[in-house]
Amino acid sequence: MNNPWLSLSQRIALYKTEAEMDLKTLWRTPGFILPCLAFPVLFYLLFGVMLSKGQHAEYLLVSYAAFGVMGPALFNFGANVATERAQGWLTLKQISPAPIGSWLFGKTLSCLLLALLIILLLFVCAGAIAGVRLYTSQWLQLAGVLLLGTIPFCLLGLTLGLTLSAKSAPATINLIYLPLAFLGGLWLPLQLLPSALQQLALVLPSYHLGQLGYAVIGKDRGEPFWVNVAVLVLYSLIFIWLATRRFRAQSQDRR
Amino acid sequence: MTISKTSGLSLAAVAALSAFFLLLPEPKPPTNSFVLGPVQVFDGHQVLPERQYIEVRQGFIHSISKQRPDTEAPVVDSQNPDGSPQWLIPGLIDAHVHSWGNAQQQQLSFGVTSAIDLFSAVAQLPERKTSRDDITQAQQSDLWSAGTLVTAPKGHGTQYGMHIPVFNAPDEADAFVAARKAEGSDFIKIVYQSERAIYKSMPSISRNSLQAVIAAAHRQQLKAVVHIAEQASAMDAVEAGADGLVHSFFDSRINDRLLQALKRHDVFVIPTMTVYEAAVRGVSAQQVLLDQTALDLPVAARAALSSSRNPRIPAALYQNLIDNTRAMHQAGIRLLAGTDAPNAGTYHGLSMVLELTLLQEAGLSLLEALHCATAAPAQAFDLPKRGRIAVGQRADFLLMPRLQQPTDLLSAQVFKNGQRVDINRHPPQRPAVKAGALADFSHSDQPLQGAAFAASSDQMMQGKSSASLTLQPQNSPASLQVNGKLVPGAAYPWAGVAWSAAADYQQGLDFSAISRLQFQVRGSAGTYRLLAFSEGNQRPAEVSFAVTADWQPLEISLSQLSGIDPSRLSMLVWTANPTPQAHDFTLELAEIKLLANSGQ
Repeated sequence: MNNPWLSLSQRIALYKTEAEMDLKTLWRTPGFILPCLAFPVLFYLLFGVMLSKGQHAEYLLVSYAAFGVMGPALFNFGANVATERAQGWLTLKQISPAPIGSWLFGKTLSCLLLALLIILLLFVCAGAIAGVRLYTSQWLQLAGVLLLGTIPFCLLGLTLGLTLSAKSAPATINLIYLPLAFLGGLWLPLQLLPSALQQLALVLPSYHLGQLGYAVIGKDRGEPFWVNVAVLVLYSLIFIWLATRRFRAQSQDRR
Repeated sequence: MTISKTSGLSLAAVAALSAFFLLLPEPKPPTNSFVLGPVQVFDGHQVLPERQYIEVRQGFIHSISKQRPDTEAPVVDSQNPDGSPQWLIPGLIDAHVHSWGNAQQQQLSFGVTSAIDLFSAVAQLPERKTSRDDITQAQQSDLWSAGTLVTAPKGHGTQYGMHIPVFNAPDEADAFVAARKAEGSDFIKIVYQSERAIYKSMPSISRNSLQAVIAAAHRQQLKAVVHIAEQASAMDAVEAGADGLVHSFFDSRINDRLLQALKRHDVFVIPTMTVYEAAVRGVSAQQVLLDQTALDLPVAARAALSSSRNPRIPAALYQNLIDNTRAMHQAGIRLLAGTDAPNAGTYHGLSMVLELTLLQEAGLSLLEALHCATAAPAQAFDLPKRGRIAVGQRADFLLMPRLQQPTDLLSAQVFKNGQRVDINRHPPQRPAVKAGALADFSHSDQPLQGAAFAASSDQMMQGKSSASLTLQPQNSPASLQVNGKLVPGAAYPWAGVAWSAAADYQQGLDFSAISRLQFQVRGSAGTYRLLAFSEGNQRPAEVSFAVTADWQPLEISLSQLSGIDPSRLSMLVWTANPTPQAHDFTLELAEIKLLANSGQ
């Protein structure tokens, strides 16, 4: 897998090509992009603006933005990797001399781009329609926290994509995505859930991503931020380990 | 070439993103810097000898001087039309409230800029801390809270349907206090009733436990205050080392021994005259507020303040409370003004006007009473930078055209953190119900208006009664049947069927256009009650009615439902009446209708 004969500029070119290709793929599947973008925005407009009459617009902006950025991370990685695996595309990548990092880089970049689009769209809705007023530093922090916070979910998506079959992936990922968001307190404030579920939330990455976001607007539950960060880092490490195992198993299978 | 194209593109993207973030709307900079004066100042302790100028910078009082400070800051007009100076007093501090929902907004709208919460849900604690540290907010009062109180199993505090940890034995004290501190309690509140109390209301922790909890609180640098309701319990609490008593008592005249002990240990007392007066004597709210037609009081406030006297307590006992308060004041014991809102007969914020009036009735001057409502509670509970008009304090104050009587507070301009509060005392209107059927039981037990019919019983408050609903669409008339069992023993026993206006029980519907409620009823013979609740008012209006085994029509005039706000009616409950023994019952309701005023 290590290719000593590739020069640095060749490597960079490969990373660029992969990124371009993945973005092109994304661009050519509006059936995937549009729901990804529309879901959190519609949810926000419905619950954050219309139903709550804008009373909790700020809080729900964080909720649905966190919910929104989890989507592309899980689906673009999960479902697409499972499909590419089924099509033999991953096998091709594994035996080609191109560094596998370039493939991951392309996927991560398109995830982040989608996440950024979702964030920007929600920010426009929040600022223009819901009357949310935040300091520029807060808007930036929120975007930053959410973008970085997608990384553990990208890794979870990757693990799932390397594990699930192409057919079962979308359904299974939904089964993980939606409860993760709900139990993490991203649909309803956690206080409204039964106390057993509130305890459960503490071990979910979605809860900790949400808390980091709420902290920006001073509406978190008061844990020190490094606890949230530590949990997310821990999850990332676990998923890296799991994904690496799956990835190696794939290569083994072929031999 | 390609490189430069890419970098050009990325540069454009970065520029577009920066522009985007710069264009996102920012909060308006708070206008919390200004000069106010010349004003007469009551600083929380005394009236300052001369007229003063107050300079506020970024929400804090920056200077107080006889000369107008030389600054660019805008000047807030503080003169009456006749040229006389207005009064400036510190924002009020209510030293005994239970805060949830929009209580803090309500308090602020009546000039209560800080409050001491003596038991409410712990989930709200972190947000309250964030809010009170925020020097830019002017939407709500600042709150310090006891969080969960310390009480015995089935003791006072457990009857509200909120699951709370209870205290069993003295050796739990350190862990119990530590748990409260971890949840965010700012101090410890203990519910205690002495073994020597004649009328035992509910189980209480023991005297040893009381001592242990207070000692544990002090070891963990928290103040410990005690809920008592009689002289014997007060004595025990003082001897156990309590920092304060959150109620006074009217079971007897205070004796010298207790007075000396209070003085020696420098214990403060929150007499909560308002809530006692409403329950025992029940005249002040009417005289001071409700009869004053010039006051524009919200309907909800009128409903909350209208008579809630407990007929089982002799009204004459209230004199004991007056005498005790007077004796404590004369002995130099620290008194704090606290209302115990939102209990029966009180309304957040507005009740402070009553508390001050009642303190005056007990012999305090208006300024002494105001001291009990400003500097005294801030000092007793160590509230930082609040309760006084002095340099370095938060700019929480009231600007008043005159200062002669407590009702003058109602015409004050309220400043919170140096911002003028946009006062709106009238809560938002609720949607109106329409005259006509409330339900069609031949199709569904879902009401045509409102959220739901549901079986309801005191089980949610740890009672033992029960109820279940069956829809009987084939009956004539189609009905909703309750099978229930009413078991006495709970504080407020009930079992029956409840109609709720909204799914969260918090919001009501506007019944102002409705004059009468009509329904058919039959069931196990006996007396039943209709309870009507309005928003934020735990105490329902009640009407009794008799039921027989045969269908009979009943009509209840909404004017019979006194003490609630019909423009925010949140729940109707049809319940069996408690009897000395547990009993099973069946009750059937049909053709529930609302009739409009004009009698169409």
